[in-house]
Amino acid sequence: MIELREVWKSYIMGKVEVNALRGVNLQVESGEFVVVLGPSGCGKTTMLNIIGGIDRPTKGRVIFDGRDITDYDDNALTMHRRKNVGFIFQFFNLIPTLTARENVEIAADLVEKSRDVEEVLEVVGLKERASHFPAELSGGEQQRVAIARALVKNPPIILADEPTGSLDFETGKAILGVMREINVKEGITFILVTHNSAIAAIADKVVYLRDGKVERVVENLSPVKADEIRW
Amino acid sequence: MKSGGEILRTKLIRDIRTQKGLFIATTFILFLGVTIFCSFYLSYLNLHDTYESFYESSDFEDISVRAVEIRNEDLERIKKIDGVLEVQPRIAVHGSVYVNGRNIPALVISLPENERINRLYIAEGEKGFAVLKKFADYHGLTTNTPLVVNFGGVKYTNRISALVYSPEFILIFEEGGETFTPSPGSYAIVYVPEDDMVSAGMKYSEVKVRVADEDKKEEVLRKILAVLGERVEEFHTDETQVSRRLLKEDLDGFQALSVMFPAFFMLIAIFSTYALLSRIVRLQMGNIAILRAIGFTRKEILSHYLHYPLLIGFFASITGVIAGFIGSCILTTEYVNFLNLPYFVSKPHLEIYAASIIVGTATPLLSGLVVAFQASRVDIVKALRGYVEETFSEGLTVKFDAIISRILRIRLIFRTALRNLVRNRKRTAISLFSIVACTSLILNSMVFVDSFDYVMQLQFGKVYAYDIKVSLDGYDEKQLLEEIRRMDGVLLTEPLVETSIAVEKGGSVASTLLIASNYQNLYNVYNADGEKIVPGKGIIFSKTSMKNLSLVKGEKVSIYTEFGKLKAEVGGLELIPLLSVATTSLDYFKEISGVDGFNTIVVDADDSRIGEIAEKIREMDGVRKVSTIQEAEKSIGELMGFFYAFITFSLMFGASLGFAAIFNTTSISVIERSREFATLRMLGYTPREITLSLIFESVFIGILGLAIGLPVAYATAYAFFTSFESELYYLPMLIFPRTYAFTVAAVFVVVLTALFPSTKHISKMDIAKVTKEVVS
Ligand SMILES: Nc1ncnc2c1ncn2[C@@H]1O[C@H](COP(=O)(O)OP(=O)(O)OP(=O)(O)O)[C@@H](O)[C@H]1O
Ligand SMILES: [Mg+2]
Repeated sequence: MIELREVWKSYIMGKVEVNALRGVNLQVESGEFVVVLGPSGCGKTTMLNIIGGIDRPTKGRVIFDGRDITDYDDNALTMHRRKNVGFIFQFFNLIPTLTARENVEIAADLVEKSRDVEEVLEVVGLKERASHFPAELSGGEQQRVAIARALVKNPPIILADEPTGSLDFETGKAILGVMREINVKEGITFILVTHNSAIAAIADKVVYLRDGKVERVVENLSPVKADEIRW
Repeated sequence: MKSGGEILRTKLIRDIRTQKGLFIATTFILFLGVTIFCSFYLSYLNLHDTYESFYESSDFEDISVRAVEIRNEDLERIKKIDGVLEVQPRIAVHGSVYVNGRNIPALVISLPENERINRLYIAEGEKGFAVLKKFADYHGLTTNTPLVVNFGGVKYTNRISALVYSPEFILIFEEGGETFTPSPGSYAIVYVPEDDMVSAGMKYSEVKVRVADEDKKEEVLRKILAVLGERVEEFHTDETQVSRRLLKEDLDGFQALSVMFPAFFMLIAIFSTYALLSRIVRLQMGNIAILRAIGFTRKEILSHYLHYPLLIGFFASITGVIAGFIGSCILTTEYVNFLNLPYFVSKPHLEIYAASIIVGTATPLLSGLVVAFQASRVDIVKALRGYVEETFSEGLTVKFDAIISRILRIRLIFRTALRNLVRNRKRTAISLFSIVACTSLILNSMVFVDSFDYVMQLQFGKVYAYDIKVSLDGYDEKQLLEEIRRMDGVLLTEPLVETSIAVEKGGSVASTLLIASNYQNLYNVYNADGEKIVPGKGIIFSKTSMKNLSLVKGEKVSIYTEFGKLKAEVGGLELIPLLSVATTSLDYFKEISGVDGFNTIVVDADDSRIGEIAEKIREMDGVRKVSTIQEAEKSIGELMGFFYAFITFSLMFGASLGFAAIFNTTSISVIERSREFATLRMLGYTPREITLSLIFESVFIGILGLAIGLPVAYATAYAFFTSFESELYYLPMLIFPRTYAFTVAAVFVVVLTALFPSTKHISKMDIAKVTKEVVS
């Protein structure tokens, strides 16, 4: 459902050109749980942002569901995000003036056939704390809100950038468990970016990124459950 | 390697550069405040010094008395009064000058060989037959131009010898004129050598006196009045001389304005600096903690953050003082040109520059100190854990929000906008305060426009219902009235008496213009509520001009008139707009003065023939002056130019102040919420939707600000307006609905344009970058 063809991303910093991505080729099938691994600075976030339509490649093509979104203008990209993409960040990026429920609602508000907010909150195990403000929630709980927010729009794909990065081991595992479960039960495609190689064990497909290039792609034929991994 | 201090300095400059707009806006507010203070106060001092210098150098009168006739033996007796320094008698009569094919009414004054009091300042030429410089300029007259002057039945012809200025006529005030201060096109002051006037058979009618001791002035005046007895028509001291009094009132208003106006700006500047600096400090909590952790002292941090307000203050003060100086030059020059002043005095007044710089620097420093102190006290351990989003918890807001959203059924994104108002209460308070200040400034300027408009409409729409006013030489012109009545194109005529009187009660005196008429149609007196006053027995006085006398309806008072001292009954007291005339019936006037006649005829004429009829009447014998309402309206228009320029100027300042202040708070709020906006963009909200929510927020603040601002503005406008109250005229305070509409529109324009740069920030935002940042 997603295809990156020879994607380049360069940043001009004064006289120096930084190439965050240098010809990435990638194919992700519908319903897959993909983990992107790589050292810091290799271009993981950049790649994810390009897939999600919050950034544009310098060169190359991005194909989403058979449509080439590379040359979409700002408005078209916004509509693409609205309909097709759920995001989860390392820093949860919740809106502090909205309660957990409202943070989900504000996303639900965007699509015509959104999922039921209460149901989604139940899926991420946050029903009881739904009327709390972000400042009153723990990191793990905030990340659950972020997952619920991504989920509620009922997007075909969810992109997660270091979703466990600011969480402790146990909480991190629980969050991964929730995501994998959603992936399996509802068939939503996940691309999860991390530099934690232990997480690779739960994936259907592992993409190794190095210096802005895909080093190798490994199909994992027997992924383990989230609560079985260790790091 | 760079030292710690140097690095901090580099940081300072970079911080300012990244927040350019905000720093400029804050500096701009302060700059406006300093500029206004400096230019206004310097102008005030310049004008004050100029007036004083002119009065001083020309030996301005201490006492002036006008009487039916002043004889030589009176003068001898006055000279002998204890405390009298100089005595100068003179002739002053109403007449006219023939200029450019037209007779212009004039006050003709004798010029003695040896001027001792109210000496003229000669701008051009030599002492002799003279006219005011401004009058000459207006009509294109120069020295040596021959001029014909009519006075007391004599036709006097002479070549202009001098163009002059007189301390008595810095501001010309014509009693009974339809315009407030007559333009040189409609009124002249002419000086004829005394010998020429005496040989034409004229007699002294005024005596000017200077005293040795200011404190004895009242006593000397009383003795002079005793000498002249029943013949006294009018008298005043230097302080009550109309022109000087008007100037003084004007000057006092100017001084009040030069403090009050900038105080507004300074207040806003304090808040703006506070908002700006606390935002910088809040964003830099982490950096501050790191600096403290690696060994910077509290004092160094404090001093670092004090540099921001210091820089703002210093820059604003220096530029403000320069602009203020330039402004004061322009303002003084304009003012002096508007008046009849030969020169202006401009002393260096270093103390004002110093005060401006001190106040301009201290103002931001004050709010800066609070913030810098907080910065230096940062809890290192806590702050190092990173900046935590400010908490927001359930409370009044959410309930309020729930109610609003139930009523309006608004989308969640708009509700976040409402919650933001409560989230950062300080910012909301500053925004509201800015709107209140902006509203007040606009309304405070507009109240003068509206009130003036109202009285002008009343005056020219209802009071002066005539087209032509004819002032006569004497009171015995029944023939003339008949003639005018029969003229072609004349629709209606009405006789009336128009004469200046002074009322005395308990040692105090107040002068006013008396209109006696039978009030049929053409000349009406209205009170401030717009009700027509119809006098019966007694004289109805204006409360304003008689303020010091505490008159009581029904009592008898002494009045000084052109027929000498008379007794009259107070028929009532009313608030009368503008020139505060007194009014009575022709019958009552006849009863107290014994004069059965009139000295003025008002005429209603066929509109298309007004000019022609006025010209014809001008040629008739016994006519002293003819004025038309059309001309009066025209010259009021000229007068108002200056006034409107001033109002426009203050409106512009009000709007820029509002813009700068609201721009500051809005931008801060948007920058602080960058991450939220990026998140919304990431979710798929369009820049348009986010902008709409911001507009919604701004409009809401605008409505709230106006709800507080309009009553506050009304109250301040009222206080401001009444502080300009005068005994010489009365202006009822009025604000038209259109002005409220204008104010509301102006506030929304300001609020929304201040948002504009922020909305650009949102559509250009790099979502990828912002969402990636841990808030730094
Ligand atoms: N806005 C930018 N301007 C310049 N260079 C950038 C920008 N964003 C990213 N880079 C550079 O691009 C490269 C890839 O960045 P990216 O954030 O994608 O790395 P990453 O793999 O996500 O790293 P990490 O695991 O540390 O998050 C890095 O070298 C980074 O310095
Ligand atoms: Mg990254």
